[in-house]
Amino acid sequence: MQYHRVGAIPALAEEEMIGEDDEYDDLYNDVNVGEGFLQLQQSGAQIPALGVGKGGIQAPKANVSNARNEARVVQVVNVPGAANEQIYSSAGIQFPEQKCGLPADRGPEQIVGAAQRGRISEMIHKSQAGHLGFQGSVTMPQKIAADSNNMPGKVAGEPSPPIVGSSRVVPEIPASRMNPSANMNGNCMVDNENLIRPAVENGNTMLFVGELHWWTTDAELETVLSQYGTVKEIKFFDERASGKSKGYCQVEFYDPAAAFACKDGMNGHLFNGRACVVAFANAQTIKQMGASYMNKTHAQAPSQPQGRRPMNDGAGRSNGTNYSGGDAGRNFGRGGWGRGGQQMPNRGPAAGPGRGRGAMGTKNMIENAPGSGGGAGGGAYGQGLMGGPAFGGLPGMMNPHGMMGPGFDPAFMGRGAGYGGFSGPAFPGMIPPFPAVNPMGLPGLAPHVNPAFFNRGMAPNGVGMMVATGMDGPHSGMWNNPNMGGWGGEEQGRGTRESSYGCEDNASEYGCREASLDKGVRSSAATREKERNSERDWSVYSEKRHHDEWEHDRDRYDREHKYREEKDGHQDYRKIERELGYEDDRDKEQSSRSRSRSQAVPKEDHRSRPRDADYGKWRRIQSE
Amino acid sequence: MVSSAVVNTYPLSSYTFGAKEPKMEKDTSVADRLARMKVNYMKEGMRTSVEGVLLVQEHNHPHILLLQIGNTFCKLPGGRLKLGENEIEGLKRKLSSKLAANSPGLEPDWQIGECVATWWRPNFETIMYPYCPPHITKPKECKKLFIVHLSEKEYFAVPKNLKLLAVPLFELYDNVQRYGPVISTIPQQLSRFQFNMIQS
Repeated sequence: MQYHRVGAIPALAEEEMIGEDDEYDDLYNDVNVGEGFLQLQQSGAQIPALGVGKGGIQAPKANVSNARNEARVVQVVNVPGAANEQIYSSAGIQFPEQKCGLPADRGPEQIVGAAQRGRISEMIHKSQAGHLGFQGSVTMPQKIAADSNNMPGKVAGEPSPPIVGSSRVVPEIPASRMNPSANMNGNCMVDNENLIRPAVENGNTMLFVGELHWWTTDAELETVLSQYGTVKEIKFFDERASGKSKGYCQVEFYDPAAAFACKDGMNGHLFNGRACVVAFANAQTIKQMGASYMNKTHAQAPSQPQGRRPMNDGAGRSNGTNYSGGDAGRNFGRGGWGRGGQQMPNRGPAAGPGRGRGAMGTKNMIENAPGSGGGAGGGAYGQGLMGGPAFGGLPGMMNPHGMMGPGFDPAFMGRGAGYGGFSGPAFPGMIPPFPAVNPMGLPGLAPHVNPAFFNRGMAPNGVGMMVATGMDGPHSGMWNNPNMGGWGGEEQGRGTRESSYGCEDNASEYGCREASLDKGVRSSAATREKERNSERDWSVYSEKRHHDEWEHDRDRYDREHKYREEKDGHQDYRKIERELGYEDDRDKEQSSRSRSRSQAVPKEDHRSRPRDADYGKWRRIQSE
Repeated sequence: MVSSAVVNTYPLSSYTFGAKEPKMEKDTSVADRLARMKVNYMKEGMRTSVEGVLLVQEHNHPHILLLQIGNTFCKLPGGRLKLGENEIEGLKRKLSSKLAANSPGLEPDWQIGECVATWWRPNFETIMYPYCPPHITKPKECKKLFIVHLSEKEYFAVPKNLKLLAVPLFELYDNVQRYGPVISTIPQQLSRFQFNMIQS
């Protein structure tokens, strides 16, 4: 029982982590000196001063949760009287949650009376220059305003809503880490009053780095991160069922200055050709990361086919420029989040688009060629989609919210999902917390739609890869329409995991997979297929596998289009695939796969064999 | 190391089972275990563990010997290798530690066969995968399962706090809830072998 449960139920594992957090909290509760002290004061100061105290003062548990909630709560437990008012001023001195974690017991003491002011000034003195201490604050201000309505009088209540949901463990972990890392103190506002400003340095040592490929490794990340300072820990968020990376991770530095520098310096850095997003760690950003990931995984299928048209690409590109407003809004998701999200919508976009969008655009163009098109194409596609009929109200939608990520998928809109809507595409339970958040959305993530499939040689076209099957002729936005019939089903199928079209086996596998997630692998073949499917659903990559599957499923299209594409000269991608050993033939996936695998595994090499046991089995059967 | 696609399996009755002093788990909880794993990782790097798949046959069907802790948790005999230790030697050491009688003369001569599965632990968590996820360059543990060819007669001494079960493959198959992903997928790993079910 226990054996699998822990794996099967993330909550359990997370609970363990929580326990650890508590330990940290306790530790820090004792250490109310120096930073800790400052923090306390800050917490106290918050109250009088303005800020939204983030609940620092409470039992450790509460602190943890506070931390998670970041901007939300000022849970002031025993704050007597006015002192504890949760003042959410927009200027919000938001004390990094971390503080919350600290001195629970001391909090109240400090939060009393005028003394706080005095303390504040002390703190100010103490605070390191330039620290404005809003660590998660960036996101706070706005939230605070909203929250304040709810908050008043809230004591020790953990604001459940903010936390939860998002990606599993994430909020908790960051919180826990944030607590110990203190530093927030520095942030304490140098000026008492203007805590509103987004921290120059808010003492946060925890960052989230997102928008990574699932194959971007921790080593690659560390190499770049270490340029900014000593890295304490990198923790990737991955899918529990498959172990695959979700494309975002949590990074902790020892030094908040390093974290800050990293956030600025590394945001938009290209990892494997894809621009990452760096954000301070708080409940919002992690949700955003999670949402972005969810969007991508779900959005990919539907968006893929549509985005492929070269013409769309052009449109996409122009969209990039045309929708500057929208982009600003959209990129806000990307870059803006890093800046603390909702807080100042204007700030994010200003910075974001330049990085995210531009990066994306260019990157996409370039990448298409090599066939990493998954990532690249998607972005283009997403933009390209704009041109499509489904695009419709997109522009309108985009701007106002400003939360829309660059990758917002018009396809969803087309589905009638509307802005918020992932309602259309049946992703039951998959609807991301931020409806419109689809930041990098589709950048070429085509879980099941293999760009290569449609467009073998993305290279020449750059973005154009998504010519898709047979779309050579009418590269008009109409592509979406006529094909919608054919592809639409597919998309839906993918999205919903049903094989609405042609993918019976996929559907069944999915079904199996879903049902049997707890049951683990059913059989080696099924395992492989499931892995494929999972990749198909979620990940960009597995183009090879997708490729096989696609072939398997859509014979007709495959045959026609493949040949055509080849004729078109998109050879490069296919060549790459072949080199990788995944034949672009119609053979059964398994056999082709096993062939390719078995070639790699020397029969007598037991060490390497284990992983290929299943494949080896196939081979043996053949050979024996 | 014996390498063969044929595995001889003998009936359970051809083996003798005795008892020996209890062998307690080093960790009292999952959290403890993970914490200890972390400490060891810092000291020695990636943990390599080895486990043995010991097979017997009953009713013409292979059964695997599992050690049951408490009432629910089953594990394969094996454990962590010392730093730099050879896998085969380490497995023999662990098998003896878990299943062999204490007197040296009675220790079975373990015939370790090939590695039938490798599982990777990417983080300090309980989850393992039969591959190392692509974004992980520093897995925390690598667990290898080896098939062990038992001879016709063996004497096993089982620690008092554990029970030794002979579980049929069909019971493990597709039964992740009870046995976990590593053990429940052993039937697949073994399916390539040809079992020679020897009747006594």
